[in-house]
Amino acid sequence: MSAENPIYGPFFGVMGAASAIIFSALGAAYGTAKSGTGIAAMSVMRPELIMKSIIPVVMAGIIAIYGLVVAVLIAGSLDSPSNNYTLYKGFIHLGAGLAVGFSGLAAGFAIGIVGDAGVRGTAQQPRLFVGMILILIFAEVLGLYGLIVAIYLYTKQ
Amino acid sequence: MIEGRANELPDFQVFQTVIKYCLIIIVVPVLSFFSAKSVLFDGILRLEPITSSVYSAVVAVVVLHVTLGLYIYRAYSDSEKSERPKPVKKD
Repeated sequence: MSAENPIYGPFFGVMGAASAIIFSALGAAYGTAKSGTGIAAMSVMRPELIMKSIIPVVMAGIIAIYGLVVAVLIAGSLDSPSNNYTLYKGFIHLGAGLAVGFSGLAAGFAIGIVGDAGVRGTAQQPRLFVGMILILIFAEVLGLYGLIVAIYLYTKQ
Repeated sequence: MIEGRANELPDFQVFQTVIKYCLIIIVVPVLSFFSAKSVLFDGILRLEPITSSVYSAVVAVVVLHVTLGLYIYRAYSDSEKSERPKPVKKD
């Protein structure tokens, strides 16, 4: 135990791995629930559109997979301080986890709200579908940016 | 009710398609992450642990988006087919 690798160093890494999956799952759950209410309301009248309208739910699930990937990466390189796990590594891992976690939270919120309105609107006007997919992709990309930053941070050690 | 039975078949087909694609979207990226890591990057190319993890994460995310694109394509093309105007029955 030196000043470089103190006993509390892995705490930050563990918190990074946990926050990566926790906040991503929070965003994905909100996106699934919000767009799920829209699908449930819309399918009563237009059940043939269910296949199309599952797409926001799938995209919200992908947000959680981003968090899972980063959490697995961080958990793979966690170690005890005696095995040269420095405090710097802990900070890097905390930053990577927070980056993908909060980006996933934001993207999940966006997907939920857009999916709800888009699915209800697609039932009235099917040509809205292309627009809904585009907006969903731009919301999804927010989570992808967080993943890119997290992976870039993760490689700095 | 015969009419109801006749209407159930496409519903079941839709269910089958959705389940199939959902399983593909969930399982294939996770499998590709670990198989790319253990077989390709660690086994054949023998990269450092961190590099191989990052590359296999990139592979998993790319595979994820390819499967999502396949699902969107399928949903879009299917509904285009089924939305052809059906002959309206009039009394």
